[in-house]
Amino acid sequence: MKVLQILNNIDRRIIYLLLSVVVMVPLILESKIDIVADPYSETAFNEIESEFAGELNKKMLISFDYGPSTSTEVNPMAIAIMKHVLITGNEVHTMALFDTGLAVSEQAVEKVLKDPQIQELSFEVEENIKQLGYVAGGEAAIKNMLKNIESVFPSAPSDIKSLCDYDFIVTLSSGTPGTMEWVSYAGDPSEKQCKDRGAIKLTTGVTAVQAPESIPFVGTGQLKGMLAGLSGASGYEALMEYADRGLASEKMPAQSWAHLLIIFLIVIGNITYFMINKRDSEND
Amino acid sequence: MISYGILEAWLVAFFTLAILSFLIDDNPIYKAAEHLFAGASAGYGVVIAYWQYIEPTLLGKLWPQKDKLDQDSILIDVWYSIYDIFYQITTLFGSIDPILLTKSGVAVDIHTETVQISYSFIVPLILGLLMLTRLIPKMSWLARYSIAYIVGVFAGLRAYNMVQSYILKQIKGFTELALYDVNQELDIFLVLSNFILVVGTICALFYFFFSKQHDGFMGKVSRVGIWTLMISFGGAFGYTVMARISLLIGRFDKLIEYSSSQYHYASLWCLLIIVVTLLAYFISKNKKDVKINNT
Repeated sequence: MKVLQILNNIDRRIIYLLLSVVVMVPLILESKIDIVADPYSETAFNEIESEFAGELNKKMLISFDYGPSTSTEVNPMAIAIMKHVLITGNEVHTMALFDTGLAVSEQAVEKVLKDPQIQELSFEVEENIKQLGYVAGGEAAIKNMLKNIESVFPSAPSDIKSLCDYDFIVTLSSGTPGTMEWVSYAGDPSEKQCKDRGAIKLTTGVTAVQAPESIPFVGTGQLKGMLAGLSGASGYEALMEYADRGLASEKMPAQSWAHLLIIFLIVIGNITYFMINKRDSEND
Repeated sequence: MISYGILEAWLVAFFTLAILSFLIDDNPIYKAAEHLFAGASAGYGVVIAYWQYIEPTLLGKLWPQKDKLDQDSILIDVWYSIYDIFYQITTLFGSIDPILLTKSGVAVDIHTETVQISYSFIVPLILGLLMLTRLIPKMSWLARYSIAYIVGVFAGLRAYNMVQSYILKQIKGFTELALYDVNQELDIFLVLSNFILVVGTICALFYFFFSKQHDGFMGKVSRVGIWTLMISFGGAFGYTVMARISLLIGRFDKLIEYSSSQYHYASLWCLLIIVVTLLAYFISKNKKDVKINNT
């Protein structure tokens, strides 16, 4: 019974310490685990692959709707998707609905350009990247971009008149404005707005917190797949066949061990809670 | 020689550990880091908003480069004299180089040879200026006009699209639930999954129907609804834990990277500095508390 008391009154700082150790050890040891992509990541990958592979002069718009605070989760997605499209020789345009998204987009572009796989390419990749910048206004800005992109980004390339001129849009989101706004103000209205080509293909990379609210839009086809958190990003890296050196994949062992610890603590917490309750009711 | 990279590593390591020190207890190092973060974020936001948005899409529309205008009149000269006043103020009447505004209008990278003044942008300029009256207590009521405009516009913008994307499209999706796999064969797992989805959604909706007492059949249905909600909350909680752990991994990954000799063991030194400072702080705080209790 003394053990029960001790377990029931563990100092929160001991749990922090345990979690720190469980996270740090796999990172220091650089341990590896097998990564398997989830169905949502697979759908996103297949949609992008079918749109860009073997094609030229196609354009993808990536909106960086997150800041440095969530870059651990979302940056690997940005890098993997950008690499995927740039390797096919197509164009990637970047923009941000978050002011801090501008800085993370520049960092992501820099990282992609330094990537050995990108540097091995025979063509000038830098020319295929255009950075549009940051825009305030969230949904109002997206709505305007669907009609006239120059009214929002005066320096947009002349061959892009509106969002309808993009073959694929990816929103990398950690909150509002983000995925929901792109679905409501670009994806869904584009069915009517982009008469010649039909609805714009839209997919998203979200933080794990945002994943539950984005899943219904994948089911209805409003989103073409979804990358959810670090595990979604590592799944995409696995499909790109560079899980052994991917930014997300290298962090997955730490993530898995931390999950195991949390599950263990929840189970222990519940067992002690019910046992103490049972003992108290018996004493009464 | 201290490079930018090393300085960055030391700052990142110090502020990460400073913020994490809150896990022990509230302390001055954490507070200093928190205030610095808030200040730096606000400063960054203002600078980015000006250069990326206010300058090109507001000032650039109201006062585009004068020599690119396709017309010339006295009215335009008067209009640009307002700009010149702001230009003079921002350059401290010529004593410093122009930074915020350029001479004779804002140079905006556009594809057309000539430009026009968009006078309609006076409305957002005025509404934006009214927002700043929040800083003057006696005039702060004027900001309500801007806030009312924003609330009105966004309520209007959202109403239609929310119904379309969140309700109609979802109902449509509900009617198109797949029962067959990619090979057009009946997928039992898919059928079961969709059955649970349909029953769970309907039961959850019943739970929020308060016009009838939840007993009998209605009680049983709403009970299933509660279970559905609890399972969805559990799923959301799991995803949240995953996200928070990812963020912790990100911070630790940086700390491990910056603890190498390449960065002069930044993380280790910062950890030592913070631990020593916190020890001194908590010991002196303890002594003070004991003194107060004794008196």
